[in-house]
Amino acid sequence: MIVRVGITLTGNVLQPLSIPLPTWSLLVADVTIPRAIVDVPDGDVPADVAAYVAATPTPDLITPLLTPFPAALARSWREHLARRYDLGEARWKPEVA
Amino acid sequence: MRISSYAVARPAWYDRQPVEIAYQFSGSTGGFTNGDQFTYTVPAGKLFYLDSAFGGQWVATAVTASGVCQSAVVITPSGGTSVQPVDTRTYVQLTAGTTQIQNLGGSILVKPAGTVIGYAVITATGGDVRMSCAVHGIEFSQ
Repeated sequence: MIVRVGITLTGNVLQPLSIPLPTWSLLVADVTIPRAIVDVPDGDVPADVAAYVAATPTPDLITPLLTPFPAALARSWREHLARRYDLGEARWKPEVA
Repeated sequence: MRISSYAVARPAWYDRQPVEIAYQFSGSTGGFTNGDQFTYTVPAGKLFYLDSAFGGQWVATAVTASGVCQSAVVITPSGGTSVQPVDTRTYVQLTAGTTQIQNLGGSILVKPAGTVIGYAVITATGGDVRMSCAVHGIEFSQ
């Protein structure tokens, strides 16, 4: 599944961005925005977040979201990843941006 | 009277819900963001048999200022030290036609929460350097 997410800047020129997901493949990123479009396994995205992604077009890195990403979906995604990767407290906090 | 019993046979690893995993990155000077290009984390209850990894760089047009050109595959075991069994890294000024490729010799078994990362960096400027890294493996249930 292709998702646009907000990214964290690290300040390191060799590794300038940090993507808050356990498994991803980078398609395109812009550190000045900062956003990235990544491909993530379908199993890493809970059904409610997948429905939001399907309903919210992100044709490029610049166009804002039609509807803001709800905090409840952010929490759902964090907990889904914590369960799937069995690391107890949520380690990744991804948000569609 | 039962005098013997056989435990239920456990399927071989390749029959334990195998999922084929593959990642590929390709990019050239100015066309990608330095750093991690893909990350795979082994989920809980799974193991990952990495059977193939590749890193390569080749120079279409010579760079104008030398710097790092690196294409690597980085394995970090959960709670362990990262290793780079595939790493093409050059610091010298490259000339057109130069090629560096490296294939993983053998295979690696990665345990839950371990990561496999494709890493590519160009800090040399100018010219046109093509980068690639790829991994393939089978994820299966413990």
